[in-house]
Amino acid sequence: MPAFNLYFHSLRIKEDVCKGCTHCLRNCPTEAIRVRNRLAQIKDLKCIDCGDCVRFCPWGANEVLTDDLSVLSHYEYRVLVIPPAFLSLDFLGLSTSEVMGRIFALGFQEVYEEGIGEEAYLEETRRILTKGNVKKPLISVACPAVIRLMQVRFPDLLSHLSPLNTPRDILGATVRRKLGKNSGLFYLAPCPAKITAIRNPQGIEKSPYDGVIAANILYREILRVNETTSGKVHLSGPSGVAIGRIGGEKEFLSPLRVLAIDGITNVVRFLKELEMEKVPALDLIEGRSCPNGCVGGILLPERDSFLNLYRLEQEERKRENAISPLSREDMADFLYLTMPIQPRPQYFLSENMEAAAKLLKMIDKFYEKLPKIDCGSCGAPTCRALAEDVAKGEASLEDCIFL
Amino acid sequence: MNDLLYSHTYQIQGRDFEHGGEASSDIKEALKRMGINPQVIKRTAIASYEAEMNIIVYTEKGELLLEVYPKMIRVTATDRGPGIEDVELAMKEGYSTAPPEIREMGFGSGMGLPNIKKNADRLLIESHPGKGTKVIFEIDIPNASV
Ligand SMILES: Nc1ncnc2c1ncn2[C@@H]1O[C@H](COP(=O)(O)OP(=O)(O)OP(=O)(O)O)[C@@H](O)[C@H]1O
Ligand code: SF4
Ligand SMILES: [Mg+2]
Repeated sequence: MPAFNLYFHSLRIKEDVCKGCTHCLRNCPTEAIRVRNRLAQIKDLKCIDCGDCVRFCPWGANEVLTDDLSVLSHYEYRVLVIPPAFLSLDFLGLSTSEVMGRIFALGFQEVYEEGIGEEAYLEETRRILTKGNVKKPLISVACPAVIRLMQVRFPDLLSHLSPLNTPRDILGATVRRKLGKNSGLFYLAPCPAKITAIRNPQGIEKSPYDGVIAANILYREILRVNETTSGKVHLSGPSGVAIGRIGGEKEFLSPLRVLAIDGITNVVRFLKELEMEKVPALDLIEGRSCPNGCVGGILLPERDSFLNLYRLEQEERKRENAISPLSREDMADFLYLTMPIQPRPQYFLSENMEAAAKLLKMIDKFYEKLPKIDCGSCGAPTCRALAEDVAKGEASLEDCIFL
Repeated sequence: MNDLLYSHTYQIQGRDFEHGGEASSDIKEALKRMGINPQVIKRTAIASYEAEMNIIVYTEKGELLLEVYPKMIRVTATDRGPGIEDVELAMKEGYSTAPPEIREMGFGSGMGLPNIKKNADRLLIESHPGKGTKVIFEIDIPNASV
């Protein structure tokens, strides 16, 4: 495992492939990208690992850093937690049990579905919304990109974050406790956000996982191995499967008032409304960064989230009467976050109001000189962002092609 | 007061519902980046939004002036619209002269001015029928902000 870094990111730009165009620049929800000298750069403090830069890059120049299967060799016994969205993939006709058999052939002894944690998460969410005195609407912590978005752009809404641990870590910590020292627990990630959430966890001291593997890497290996062995499979019930798509929390928490929003820019828009208190009375916000939820994760080999969504719903139907192998009581020790989730410091222009006001005046002054058309040619996503870069000494007004 | 830390003027175009709320949202963003107490920001933003929408709904054009002092935020909304005949009446919850087409857009419940009063620590309305309206409100910043 690489050393932990406070602002670790799993996204990186391949310098030899990047053309210095502005696709990623325009689509980044936190304005974390700048193009300088025909090369895109990611600003660490602003990046939330949503992966939309990868989604929108026509050249494949943005890559995601993950472990590959060679990390398995460090452990004698290997357990894999898979996100439900993984079983929504088209494995070219392989049945679920064949897929599992191949995962075992690749070196795992046990597979758990993340949805098992989700079932406890849903049950506890319902409990605190009905009984507890929580700040409504609560915002679900299931998507780590949404949590980071709030740390970067909506620090004053952090008090709305659910106090619950994530489904991924509720299950992970429960399984971890049962495992011995030489056992490795791995997570199969559908997105860079979850990779970062494991490498640099928020709200808990330490991730229960020993490694994280990208879903597309395992997918490729599964199609390649062509042999099966046996192992233990633990699948969840239908509500756990539904975590893989948008609307899963809404459906299984009914009749609570849940608003489900997919797409990170839609989440941004909604949070702005929430800040202004222009939203109806709601119990929970189910926000997901990806279109259609995790079935739209950028590390899934199938990029058409609608087909994945369709297959996931089929899977949900198959599980209609399935019962989760672990109960809420089994996972009771890990249901809550143990540390507060803090704003990212850079959000404020300065620690001190006077200094911040001074910087803001400079930004206004530079902004007045710019054409206010947000063309992106200067390498900053908006004229306002360039003005801020200039005020901070990171760019110059001449970068604007109109000046 | 000459310890003004920051000020900015936001122009508002009457009847421009498409951009309605942008000025108050810019005000909110500026205050957020200065690290001002979130509760103060919220109250300022909500009151500014009401003042901005009144300019859009009832007048041709106006502006919001934001002034930030170490212990207080002041917003001055100025327009050269029709003015308010009876300010005391306009301050009553539920009183509105908004025409039906405005009500269809979800405005006109007569809650705007009362909402400003609720969120501000001080409010002053000066209006001259036929000449225009000035709505000034202040929100105190409690000690130990940031
Ligand atoms: N800037 C202004 N110029 C002229 N008239 C105004 C102005 N602001 C408010 N008024 C008058 O005062 C009345 C009450 O305003 P207020 O903002 O409280 O309610 P509203 O705008 O009618 O409804 P709401 O704000 O709830 O959408 C308005 O209907 C209008 O007649
Ligand atoms: S919606 Fe799911 S796949 Fe997409 S970023 Fe969030 S957790 Fe990851
Ligand atoms: Mg009004």
